Amino acid sequence: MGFRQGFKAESNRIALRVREQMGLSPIDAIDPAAVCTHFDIELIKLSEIDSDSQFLGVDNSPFSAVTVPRGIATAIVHNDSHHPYRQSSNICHELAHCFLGHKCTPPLTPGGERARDGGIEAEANFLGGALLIPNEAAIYILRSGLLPQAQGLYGVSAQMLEYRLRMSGAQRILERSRLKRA
Amino acid sequence: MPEDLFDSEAFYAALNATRLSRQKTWKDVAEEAGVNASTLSRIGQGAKPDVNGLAALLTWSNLRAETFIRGASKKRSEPIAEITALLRADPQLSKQSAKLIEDIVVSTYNKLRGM
Repeated sequence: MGFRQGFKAESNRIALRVREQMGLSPIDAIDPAAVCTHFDIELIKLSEIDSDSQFLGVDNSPFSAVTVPRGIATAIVHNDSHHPYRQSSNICHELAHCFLGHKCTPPLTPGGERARDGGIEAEANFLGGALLIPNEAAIYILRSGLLPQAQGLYGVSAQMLEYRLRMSGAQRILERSRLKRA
Repeated sequence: MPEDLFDSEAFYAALNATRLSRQKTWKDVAEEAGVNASTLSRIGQGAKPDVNGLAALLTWSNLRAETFIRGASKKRSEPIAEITALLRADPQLSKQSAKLIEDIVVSTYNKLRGM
């Protein structure tokens, strides 16, 4: 996926700014629910909206989360039947939309199908991951030998951890420094 | 009473979106725009800002007041028709799932207090 120039660096700056605002260091883990509270975003569980929702059952994959603004308020509804790591990822994806200033649009087409903009979805995926594990945290994980504990420390899936270690350049940076020492 | 031509809800939505895109809290907005925190709390409770407060918030956000003035001939549409959202869901939704998600969005919108 080709991003606009400077997007990845901008995403990391946003991830660090959010931490700074919350009194956290670049390598600290974040609690997505606490980020919502800090930025006055109402976080709502799907089960609070509809405890009988079909998306809370066995077939829970079609719905992950949605951001709904109204006037001065913003709410994120997320699927609380997903694995906690996936819930974190879903919430951070929605926060990323907000922090990137993505324009909200009618979520469905007049024909009742899902309206989707692949460009902004890819950006939200990237920043969502960077919010969970900024570049500095990815490097810290590898340098400190925390790989076995990193999923639990940062509340992420194995797939997200691998993605962030790769996208942050942490693996390359560590390999280069090993080569220099050799 | 004449119809209110200033679309407060659209203005607050744009201000809120600008705030989040700068990773700011409402407290930060009050400090940086130079308005009382109480002005923003009143807005949150549905009050309209005074002219000075409005000018300060427009300046802070780089928004333009005229964007939020309804043309005399433009009728206000039903809020329910203006609901927007950002959705994370399966790219290939069935009609039934799409309808259920629409219901979630509408319920959430109605749960939030509008301006």
